[in-house]
Amino acid sequence: MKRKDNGLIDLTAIDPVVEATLSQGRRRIAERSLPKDERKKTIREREKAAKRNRVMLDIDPAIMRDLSKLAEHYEISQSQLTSLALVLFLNAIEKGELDILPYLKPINNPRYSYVVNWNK
Amino acid sequence: MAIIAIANQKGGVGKTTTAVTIADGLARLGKSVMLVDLDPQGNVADSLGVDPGGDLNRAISNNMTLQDVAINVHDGLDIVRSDKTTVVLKSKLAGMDFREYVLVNAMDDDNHDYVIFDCAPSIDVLHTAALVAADYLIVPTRLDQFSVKGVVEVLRTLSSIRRFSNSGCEVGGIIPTFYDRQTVETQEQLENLVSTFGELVYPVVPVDTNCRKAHRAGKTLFEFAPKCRALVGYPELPCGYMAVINRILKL
Repeated sequence: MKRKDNGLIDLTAIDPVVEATLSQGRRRIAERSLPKDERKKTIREREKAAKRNRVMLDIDPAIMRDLSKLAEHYEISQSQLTSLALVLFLNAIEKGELDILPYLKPINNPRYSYVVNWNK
Repeated sequence: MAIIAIANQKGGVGKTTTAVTIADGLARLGKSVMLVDLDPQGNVADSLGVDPGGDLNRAISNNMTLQDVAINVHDGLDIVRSDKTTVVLKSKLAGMDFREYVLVNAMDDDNHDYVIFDCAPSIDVLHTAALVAADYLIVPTRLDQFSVKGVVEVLRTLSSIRRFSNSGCEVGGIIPTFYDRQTVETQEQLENLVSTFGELVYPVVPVDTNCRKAHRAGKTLFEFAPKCRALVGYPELPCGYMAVINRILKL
């Protein structure tokens, strides 16, 4: 707890968690006092902003299962675990520690030239 | 060793839940904790699924220390139970000299990392004795007008006790409990508390039915619902008792 030079507690300081609670509460109240149309617009914009971080990928069910088990084990969300895995993967490629070429198999497809063969 | 008194003269603000959860949480972090129930209702034992008992009366009436009568609940957590005999104890103490120091004396040579007093919702001799013995006062409060008024009252009581005794008890913090983010009243009272008490206001404890269910099951929140809102807060805002315990560790 912050103290002033005279040893007294500085009551102007605020716990950061309490500050976040207050600002979220203020935002909620401000939103509630908006006219119906504007409120809907704000909610739509928030949902849109949240969707910007979402991607839809086709992933093998076995990988999904392993990911889910690991996320449960570490008590974290699957999204965060996937993000971590991708960061580690991208870093490894950038540093030249990982080469994905051995995993690529040519295919006859108008859109893609290769398919990934990830069998362990 | 840190001695903490959990008190608010207003009832129903979550004193016992707060005391039990903090004590249990600290014990689970590897600290040795003694939780002392000063309320004749004996709800500490109920919350922990232990049979009620008159440990407090037994210790003080027989000149024993609290450590002598404490029972171990699990690794690191000892409790001193209270029951209706505490009422008898209070009337016995009323006629004694230096009664305000009764808990100071009963903690002679105590070797716990934390001693937590769960005070009754009234000003009585044990409440005063707890504030004389404690290093810190922590005040749980609901976010409504009467409860916030109770915070001011308990702080006034502490100030008077510090004047007449050599108590070095400081205000450790104020815990807003039963935080309901849907109501404007909650927000206004929290703003009010923060503008008056600044950093003394701890992270909020969200309202959570798991608290009641845990009491009914005789389990602590850590045992009953370790990921519940009252313990860990909201996904986008980690708060609750875990954040409170982190603040207490910094006292």
